[in-house]
Amino acid sequence: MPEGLGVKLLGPTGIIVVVTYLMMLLAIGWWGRRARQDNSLSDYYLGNRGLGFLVLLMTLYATQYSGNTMIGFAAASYRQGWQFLMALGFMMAVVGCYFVFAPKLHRLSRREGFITPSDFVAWRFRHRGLTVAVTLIFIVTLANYVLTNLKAVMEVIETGSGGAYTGELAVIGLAVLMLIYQTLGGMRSVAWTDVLQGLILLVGIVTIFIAMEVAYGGLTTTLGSLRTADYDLWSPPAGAEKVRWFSTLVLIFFGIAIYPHAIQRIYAARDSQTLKRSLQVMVFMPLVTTLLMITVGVVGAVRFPGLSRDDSEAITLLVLQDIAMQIPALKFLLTVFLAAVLAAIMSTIDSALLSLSSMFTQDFYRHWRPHLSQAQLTLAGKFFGAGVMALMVGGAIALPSTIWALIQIKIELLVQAAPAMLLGLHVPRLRAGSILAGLIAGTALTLGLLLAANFTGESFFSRPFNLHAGLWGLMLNLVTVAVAHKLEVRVFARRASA
Amino acid sequence: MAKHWRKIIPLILLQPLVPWWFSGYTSGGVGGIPVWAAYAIVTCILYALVVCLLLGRYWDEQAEEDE
Repeated sequence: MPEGLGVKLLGPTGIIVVVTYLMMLLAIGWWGRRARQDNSLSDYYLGNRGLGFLVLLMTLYATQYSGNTMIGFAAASYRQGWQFLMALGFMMAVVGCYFVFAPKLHRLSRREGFITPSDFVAWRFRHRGLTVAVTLIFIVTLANYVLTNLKAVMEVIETGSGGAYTGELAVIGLAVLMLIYQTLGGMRSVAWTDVLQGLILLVGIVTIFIAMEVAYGGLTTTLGSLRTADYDLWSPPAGAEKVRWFSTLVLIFFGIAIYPHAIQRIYAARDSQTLKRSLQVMVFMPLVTTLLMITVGVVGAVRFPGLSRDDSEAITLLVLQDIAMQIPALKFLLTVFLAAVLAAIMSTIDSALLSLSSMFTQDFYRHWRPHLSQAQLTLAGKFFGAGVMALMVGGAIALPSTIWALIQIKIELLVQAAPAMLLGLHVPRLRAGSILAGLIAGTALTLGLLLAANFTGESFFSRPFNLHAGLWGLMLNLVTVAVAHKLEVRVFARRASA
Repeated sequence: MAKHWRKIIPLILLQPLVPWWFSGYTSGGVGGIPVWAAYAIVTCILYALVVCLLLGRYWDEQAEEDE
């Protein structure tokens, strides 16, 4: 968010609210530790596979919606108008993809005792090279995700305090706090804090929307004025944008659904029916989250036209400040917004970090030290968690980046692991060699295109013919899998006949 | 419903979520939003309903498939 727009959130009231919220997270973390049933990896990383309906729903919700929902979605809607409604579709598409694989994966995870997504790949293909390749893609994309959100924390605190607190200090403090409650109770603490964070996020967004309706005397009139105020924002997308819209839907359908921390929540569900019911509610959550934030951005475009790209990143704050000036009683909304943003970001970071720690422990360390007990592995996982957090915080402080650009890159890489998960579940005859060949080809093409775009500055390479580089990579990935599978079948047939 | 077809329904149904059929500026609107945006919202709601129904109707069959 840009500085200099005169928005200050962290006054005395804001500090009291934030400190109270942070103390509650610590208390929940301690509560999670007291509920511990044993000292196993399953208990620490999956809450002993006992998450009930409400906790599962809220942890899926809080994890899927990050700081980008609160800041980035409204800003993108300010710049693109209703064309950013593609975000409403892609957040629902994620649940559509869960339908494809979650029922079967959940059943297998309980039977086979999976801890990480790579456990499924290892069990299904029995190929160490493929398992390591998939795990590396998961680790790179998750680390990217954590970095992005830590960066967002720094920006929120710096801007919110009007520069009174440095982002570096804030991100270190919050990282230590997340590490404490995560180390105390693992997935149980993280999921329970997600309930609080998800509720803050949901209530925050709905409250902001209602306040907008009240302050502007009915949104229909305000939104309708865009009709004459800005033809571009009122008009439907052109042909190229429509293709890009579809490309984004497909990319996110395959990408976000296979985030390791999302898959671990599938494993952590108490039972199949609990998971099913949570997903049935989850598919409607974008209507009360994404759609409302898009509306905030469009209202911002009506009220504050002509902002630069950087300034538009603070459009939610500007709208809230405008509302507070018109109705001073609604000034508390600024604090609500700050709490909701922090909740959204922290719930994403802690879940991703726990998942990263689980992959280091279960997918790598356990193979190097196979004789360690579950308690020793759990302890090692806690150290890994601390080490990864320290690395990520260091990276967030040192590396400059923009939120949206990083998100695009991580999803484009992540989708290359989708065939291993989805085809692995539903096509029994597929062998590891085909999937690995596809993964290498798809990843190489995606990285090649993105690097070419970066070095040449030509946007064509990042989206050739308006389809994302990651989608081209996924198509090559799937074609390679199909061809390699045919070749494998022929080779086996020849060997059998010989 | 054939078990292989139902798996790709959520993917195929992404196609109508894009307002392909609308082009150019028109002043018409519904509840303060352009008609094409209203179309996008309605199709998203329908998508959510279909996914919710698929989850309810076929969850157990999906879960019990042989590996």
